[in-house]
Amino acid sequence: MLTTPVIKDEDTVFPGENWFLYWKTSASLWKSKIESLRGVNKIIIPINWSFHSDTGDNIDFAGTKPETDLKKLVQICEDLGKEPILLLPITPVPYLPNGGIPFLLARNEAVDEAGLLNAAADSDGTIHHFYSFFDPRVFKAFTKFTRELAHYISQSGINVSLWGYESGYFDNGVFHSYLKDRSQSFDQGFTRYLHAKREELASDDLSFATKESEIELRREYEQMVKDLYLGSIENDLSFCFQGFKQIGYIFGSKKDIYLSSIDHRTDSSIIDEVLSMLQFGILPSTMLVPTRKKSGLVNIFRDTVLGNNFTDQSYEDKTIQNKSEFVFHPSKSLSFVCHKESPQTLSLLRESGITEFVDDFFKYDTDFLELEDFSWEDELESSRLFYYFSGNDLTLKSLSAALKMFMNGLNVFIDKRGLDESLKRRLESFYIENDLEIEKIKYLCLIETISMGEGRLFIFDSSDFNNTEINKDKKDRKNQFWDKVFSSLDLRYPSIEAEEGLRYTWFDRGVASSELKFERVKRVTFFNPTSYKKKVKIRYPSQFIFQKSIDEKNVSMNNTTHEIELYFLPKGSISLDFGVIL
Amino acid sequence: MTKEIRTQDVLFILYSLDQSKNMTRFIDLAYSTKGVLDFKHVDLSDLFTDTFNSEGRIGPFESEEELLQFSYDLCEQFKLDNICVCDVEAVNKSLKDAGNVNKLNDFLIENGEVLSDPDRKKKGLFSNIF
Repeated sequence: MLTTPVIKDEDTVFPGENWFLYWKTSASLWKSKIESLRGVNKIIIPINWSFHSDTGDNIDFAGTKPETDLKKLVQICEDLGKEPILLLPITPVPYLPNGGIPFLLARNEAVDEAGLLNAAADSDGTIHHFYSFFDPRVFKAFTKFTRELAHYISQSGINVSLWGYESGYFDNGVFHSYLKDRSQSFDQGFTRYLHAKREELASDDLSFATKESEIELRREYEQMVKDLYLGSIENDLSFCFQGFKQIGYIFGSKKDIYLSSIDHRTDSSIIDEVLSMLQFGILPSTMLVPTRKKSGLVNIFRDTVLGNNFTDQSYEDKTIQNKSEFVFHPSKSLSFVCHKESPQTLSLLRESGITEFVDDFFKYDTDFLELEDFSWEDELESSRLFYYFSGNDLTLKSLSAALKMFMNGLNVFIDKRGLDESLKRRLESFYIENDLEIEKIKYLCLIETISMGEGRLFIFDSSDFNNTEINKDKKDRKNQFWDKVFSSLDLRYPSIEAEEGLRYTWFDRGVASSELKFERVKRVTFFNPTSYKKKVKIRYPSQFIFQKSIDEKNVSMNNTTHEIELYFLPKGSISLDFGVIL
Repeated sequence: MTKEIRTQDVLFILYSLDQSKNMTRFIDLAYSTKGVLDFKHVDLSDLFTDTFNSEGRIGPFESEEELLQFSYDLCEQFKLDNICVCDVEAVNKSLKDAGNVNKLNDFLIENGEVLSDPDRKKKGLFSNIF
């Protein structure tokens, strides 16, 4: 028998990840709603531009509607001991009519290259169409809004952190921003941009005529407009501006509209999407996931991976040292420091064989850090084991950062493929200046390894892979190469043999005074999103001391020396804690 | 009297024109209430010799007739009652008219081009494809 799912009020106002949709309930109920959130430190408040302004011109902050009283909302959060965090979008948002822009500004529909409307379906299945943020009227109104918001916050004496955010979805390793469109407004703006570019170059430069250059110029124009929106927030709200986030919505692609129409998304696909986003530094949001899907294992997964700790860490105030060492953080053993949105970079990583190797060896334990935003000093206290730099992306500054990391005891890989000749010379002089002893090994390519204290520098050129006999059975040979490399590092890491369909993720924390025999504590949490029984075998080295299992659900465990076997029933989950001795 | 078409008997085919590829047609998505058609399992060589899988879509089709013929072949291969072929205009209109995903497929049937294959057998390999 079919039943209509009961939509809980909490799902409407608290759609996930501690977001509070203040316009969805009466201001008189804000206190009781927020009070009901137990164990939550940060309340994420996405500002609904269209709720504060119908026209884009008249803006209401507690003037007419009591639900626009952000001062009161912030005060309630503070009174209840919770930290309010304001979010301000610089793109259409998928959970509001018209993508969240004021009603009167919804004139230029956002469409893609093929002319298909940009849209998304919310958790109730309501389809929201987006309108172009390339429309100059939208931008003008947005700047007015940020000015008035800044004035309101400062005049009201509200003490609050504010983040800008870009909404989009994640597909095939790429974040697709909802800002992107090919509407009439975009075309008009882009034409003006091209004219300006031509004048700037003062010529009829033929490079404008090629398809590739036009694609590149379109990207440039998009980035420029995005920077304008972000700049408007940064400039007007500088006194409370904390930074910028990319938020990826599960079920947020156009394809998902049709998949929702046939109810065809599995728990596994939801988990995979979240894990992929986290790997690329995108904040996942489950607010578009239909309420009926937010139950059972998906709920356990959300609480474990996207719970309060995750929210607290995601919106940490960088100026305050409040990071708790004793709380589990998502852990990544190997990080690719690169231009993570560059298809060329990702292709070079694939060709080097490293991504395939780590997908097996460090499964669910790697991530991508954006080179542009990378600060090597932040990594000195990190629990990451390895950093991988692709030569194609490196500049003098980032190469220097990589070398400083090595000098400070971190393990660094540098693939020289695509590295600029001047940087190769810089690398040579680095060896000489520091009188470094280089160990050279020839296996498929020349590998140079240097040790200094705890740090290890690993330099090779993956383009050699294409020039040797390894073209035959290339895949296996590259795997062997990486296997040898990591074996030479004397790395002690658990081996996990998980049956297909199982998912797992790693966390890490510092140790308390009672655990001083350990360096860190690592937690691995397993999920069985399938409808079948599954098994996993974990072999862990002597440096890993099994401490305990927690949150067991539909799983049994068999523990022998340095080996654990887990037997999952459908939708089972468990977390295992290991003390790590280095 | 027109026979009423039930959404569960329809394979929906959504296609668009690709400006960067001489305005040729590409199928972006094909699905029924049983799931999404995985293009990897479509035996293209039997259906259309010049058609290929690319970037998660199928194409190119030089003309609408080619695309309709291909869709009709799909209909036969997967033993379905009906195929609903929707261009961008039909999809956009349906997205606007429906307002909610629950009604979307009804509007696609209304706005798209529906091809029926009354001679097909009820059971086929369709269930193995999704």
